[in-house]
Amino acid sequence: MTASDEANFLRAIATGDQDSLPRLVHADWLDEHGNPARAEFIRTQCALASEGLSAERRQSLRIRERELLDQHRQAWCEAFGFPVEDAQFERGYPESLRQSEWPSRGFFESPASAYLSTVTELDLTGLRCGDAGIADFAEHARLPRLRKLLLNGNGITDTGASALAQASGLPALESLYLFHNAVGSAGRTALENSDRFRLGNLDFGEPAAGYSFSPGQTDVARREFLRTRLLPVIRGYFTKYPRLQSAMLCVAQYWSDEADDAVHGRVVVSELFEPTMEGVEAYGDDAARDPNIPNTPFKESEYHGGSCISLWGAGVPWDENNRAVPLWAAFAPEGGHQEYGAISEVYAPAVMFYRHGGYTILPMLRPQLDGVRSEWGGELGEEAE
Amino acid sequence: MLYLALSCYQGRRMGDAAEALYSLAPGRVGLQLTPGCAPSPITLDCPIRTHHGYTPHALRTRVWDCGALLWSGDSLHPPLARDVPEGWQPPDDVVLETMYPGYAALANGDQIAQAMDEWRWLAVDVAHLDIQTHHGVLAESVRQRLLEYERVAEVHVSASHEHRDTHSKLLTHTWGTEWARAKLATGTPVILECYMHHLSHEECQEQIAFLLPD
Repeated sequence: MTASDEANFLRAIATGDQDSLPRLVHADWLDEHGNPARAEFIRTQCALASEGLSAERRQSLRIRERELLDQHRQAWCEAFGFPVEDAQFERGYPESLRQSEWPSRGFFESPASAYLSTVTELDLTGLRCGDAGIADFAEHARLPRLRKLLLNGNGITDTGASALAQASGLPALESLYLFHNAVGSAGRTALENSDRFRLGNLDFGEPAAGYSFSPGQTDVARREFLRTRLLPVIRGYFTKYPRLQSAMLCVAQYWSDEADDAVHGRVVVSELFEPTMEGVEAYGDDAARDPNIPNTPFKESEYHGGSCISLWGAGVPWDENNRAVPLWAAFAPEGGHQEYGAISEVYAPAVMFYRHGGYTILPMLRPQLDGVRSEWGGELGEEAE
Repeated sequence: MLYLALSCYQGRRMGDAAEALYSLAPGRVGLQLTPGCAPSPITLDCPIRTHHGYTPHALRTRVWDCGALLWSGDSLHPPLARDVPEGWQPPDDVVLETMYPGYAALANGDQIAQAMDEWRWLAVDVAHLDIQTHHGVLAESVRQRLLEYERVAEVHVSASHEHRDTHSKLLTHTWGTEWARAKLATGTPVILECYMHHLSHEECQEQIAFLLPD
């Protein structure tokens, strides 16, 4: 298999829109060229995307998908040929990527860049590419499915923004984060008037009245918190306790006359395919009744109740009356109260984590609170750079 | 007049919460603007009162700083006892709400009696009085004196549960409802502040009917 063979398949897949046939053809080709696990993964995710699956069939596919990711995700990410900090796959191919370094010059003209061609969301936050880097990207990147591009914190000026406005390989681009760059009105106007794509969301980090962050800033700060604060702790649990398969961050917001608008967070770890909140008590320590950890006897010294881990106890900073409000209130169910018994009474899952290293941020329950200004303002920190 | 607290729909957009509440009894109720909703314009033309930390510019704003008052509005909670210096006394010209143990003022019968001795205007929360009773810190004589006290600026109504300030819906036997209805009839503003997120439309209207019979 050569890089250009692979690139041809990937580019055909990228232009295939919702048609899974090119993907399945590629899977056959991978089978014939010594990569059966990758082929099975593509078939498994394509099957999951099809309609009319029975619940049993869907569950068995999900389990197999997870097994394959657990075994191969890291190797598949390394095979991209560029440094990837985070990747999500859909129908067998990368759907969203966060790169940890700006690609070297010439990358976007190389066959390896085809691995980006199926991506709909590309996070290039804080990679300091500068105007030269973004001009190279604008000239050579061919990302026909890309809808969301995070370019905040890249040292881009009007020059780079104007170059990006001329990009011919980003026809589906509709959401662009450009805060924490030095883009002025000329660059902004060029992007708004570009005839190469039609931006519905051009985020320069301008919060609405009553909000601490713009939606993009909130999104980036939340991802950064997960990557730098929470994921290392959860990976530590996965490493130490081999039976654990999943974890979830759960959040609640409830008010009492004393509690201000605190947003509370808990992590539930689990041996199950996905954690369950049933039977989990936030302040109990009766692990025997907790369905998440029937075979995992914790020996941690930090406080937890069964499978429910206290964030502060695990060393995760969680500023419940300040930063947690703009970042996580939108994921908490409404009508919570502080006198709950079981955690499921007031908490809802916000993020799912898996043994393979990936995670999924779940849909917001109260999007009107995303980025909202809290009593102390939820000051913008380095996470939103 | 009966006012519906924005906190009945805490967490929603201010404008949405206001519209939903006012539509329960249009023309017959006002709104008490409370913290905890997402900032958005409120365009209703109805009587308005403001409460503890409400601001249109954030989820809420600070009210006290080490006992110094930062906020102004129709009524407010005293600060927590742990947040003020020893011997702290509330300012004279504010309407403080009766609270429960843990607060620096109006947290028990003795403090309520002192406030009445000083002829202060008070916001009386019947659920909080119930909590004081549960804790055994509100003498019946003080409670009776408070119910007859002339300087009641507002009455706040919801149901509590033992020591818990749950802002639950009113039931036929909820203590204080009848007294609140009587105060309402004499012109004292009464604020309904039970959480309505999980109540049906009929249950919400029933809550209003407890205080404002047709």
